[in-house]
Amino acid sequence: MSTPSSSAGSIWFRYASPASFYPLAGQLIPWFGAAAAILALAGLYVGFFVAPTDWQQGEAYRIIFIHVPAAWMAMFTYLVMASWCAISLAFNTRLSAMMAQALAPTGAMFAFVSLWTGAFWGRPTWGAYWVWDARLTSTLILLFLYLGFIALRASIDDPRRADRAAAVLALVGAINVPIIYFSVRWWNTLHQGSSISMTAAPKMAHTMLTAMLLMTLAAWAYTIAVALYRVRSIIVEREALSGWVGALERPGEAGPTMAGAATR
Amino acid sequence: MSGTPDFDGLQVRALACAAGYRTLFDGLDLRVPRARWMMLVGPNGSGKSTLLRAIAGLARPVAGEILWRGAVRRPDSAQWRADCLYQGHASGWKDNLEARENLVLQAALDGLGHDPARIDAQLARVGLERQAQLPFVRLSAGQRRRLSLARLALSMRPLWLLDEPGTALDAAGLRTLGNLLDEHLARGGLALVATHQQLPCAQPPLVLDLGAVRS
Amino acid sequence: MREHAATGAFAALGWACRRDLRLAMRSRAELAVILLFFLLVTSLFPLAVSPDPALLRAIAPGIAWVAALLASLLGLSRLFAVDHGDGTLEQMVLAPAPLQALVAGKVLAHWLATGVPLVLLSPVAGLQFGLPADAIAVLAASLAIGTPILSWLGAVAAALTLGARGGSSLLALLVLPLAVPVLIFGAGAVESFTSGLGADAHLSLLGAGLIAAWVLGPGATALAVRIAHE
Repeated sequence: MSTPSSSAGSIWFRYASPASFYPLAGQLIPWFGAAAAILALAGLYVGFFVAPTDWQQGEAYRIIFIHVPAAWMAMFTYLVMASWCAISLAFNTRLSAMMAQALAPTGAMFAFVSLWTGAFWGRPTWGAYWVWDARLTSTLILLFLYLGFIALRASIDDPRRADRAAAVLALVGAINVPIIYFSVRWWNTLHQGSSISMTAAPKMAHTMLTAMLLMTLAAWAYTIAVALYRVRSIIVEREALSGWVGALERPGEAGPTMAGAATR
Repeated sequence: MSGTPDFDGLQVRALACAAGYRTLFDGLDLRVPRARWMMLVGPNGSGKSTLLRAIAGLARPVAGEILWRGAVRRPDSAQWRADCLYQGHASGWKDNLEARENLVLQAALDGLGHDPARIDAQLARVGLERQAQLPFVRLSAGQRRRLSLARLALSMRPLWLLDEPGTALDAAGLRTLGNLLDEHLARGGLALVATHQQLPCAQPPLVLDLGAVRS
Repeated sequence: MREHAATGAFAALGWACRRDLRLAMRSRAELAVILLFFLLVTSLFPLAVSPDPALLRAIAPGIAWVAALLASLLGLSRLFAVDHGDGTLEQMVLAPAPLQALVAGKVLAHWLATGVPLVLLSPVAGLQFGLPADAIAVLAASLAIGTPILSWLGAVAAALTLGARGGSSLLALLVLPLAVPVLIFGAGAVESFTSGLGADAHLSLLGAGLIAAWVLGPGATALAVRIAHE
């Protein structure tokens, strides 16, 4: 892989080394964090105060403004994580694997939030905390896929080997996610019909859609901010033996140098 | 690339290997020409096994390249895998199978055709003709090591990478190992051997001390 | 014992399959344990739920499939771990023969040693639950197509967990979510058949999954085995 000094490379490769990405990530975090906060406030305001009361489900339905964006983000984050894993396998880069490692806990959190809020929606609406709805069940399996990824990473001591093994697992999971979703939908429609389904949400008023969109964008900005923050601490932990990490603690020195053995 | 002719042998350039977070060595160069062997020495943990595994294609080096007969070798090249014979710390044999069954299977995996007479001859050469029908798990440590010598005796491969091949061998076993190494070198083969012991080989080895390289 | 040079893909597959079957025959007791486990799990459900025949007939396909899935898990951790421990897997990675073919031979042997006996034992489970003969045939067919898929999913997971702490529980955590579609279509085939809709759609989907497993499995598993040796 190119070193950061060869600036002839495209902007993509210039930031592909952890040493040069670290300061960039630090600059981006406040922007995404602020965007997440603003979008979330706007979305919650529209969702909880502006959107009309649903004549069928009352006020309890408002939980979908958290439930649905969380479910979407859980799925989307898995695909982004799997893409970073594919890049790290194909180009043997460390930073892509670190990004995947940083995304996994947030994706798992969204899957869990989606299941939790689904329970809070289910109780007042259908009298049960858990229904074997197709999306809830697929999200549950998605949560297990995330936990498997995190557990596999944690159980392999060598960091590069953990990167590559978890990457293969993420790709196998990514191929399976549409199959799992399809099979669970098949199973659900055969057994329960569409009477209890969270996809058959109340007819969407315009404001409800706006709130949903705002919350989804907020979740997306939040994920990026948290992933950048997490990847910075992963970089420090894993690059600890390279010379440039020490230079961070001594301000005023020249930029990151590529000391040490790890140059790819 | 300068205009010198391709080096016919094993060459390593600027190799760097790490184990987890720890750098084992950096900028390592070595050359082993044909019909010579190199002894790898160094204290425990200096990276001898990792170096052998990196050359064989098991471990991924962090930097550097490995050249075989003048060309950069790719670990997934079938030609490389047919040229290189690696014996590591693990025994490489199945406990539940007889010694002879183990050797027949490994010979087939090594790409050798079915030749029972040759199998029996090499088992006799390493002194295992009476233990051939015993399950591997019932052999003593020295006898287990001799089975690995039998694999070397059958092999036609030009490059040997051996990690502590003399462990548990008695004086007779070490002499057999030395003779096998001599015959291998006489055929034009080369070897890289990590060892703590002096091997009774007629050819004097090149020596690489990994402990000195690090400092 | 006659072994020809294992250099081409089919020769390598045959070498690995014959070797693993020979090793499996030397530890027949372990295979028997897996089959007994299958029967034990299926016997636990009437005890835990109720001996009502109509209820048991309804849940029979699911129970048989879950029991088969759990029984397959038992044998998976040994698929690569033993060879990894004694160094023979390392020699397979370094052999001139294509690693995908060697791995495929091992997985085929694993299915022949554990999957096929489960398929042959499934009528016993079917009789325990009072399934009619034609439903039992569909159950056996679904297991026959589905257990090789489980072998491949398990092979990738077993290769990834080589040298990882956590052993067989980590393996189960990795395999079970991926096995959900196989479970759904396998058990669903029998239920669909008994309710008169026919099992063709389910069995065809399982068949497609089997082809996908044989196409993608060798490459993914070989990559995972290489990673485990780095």
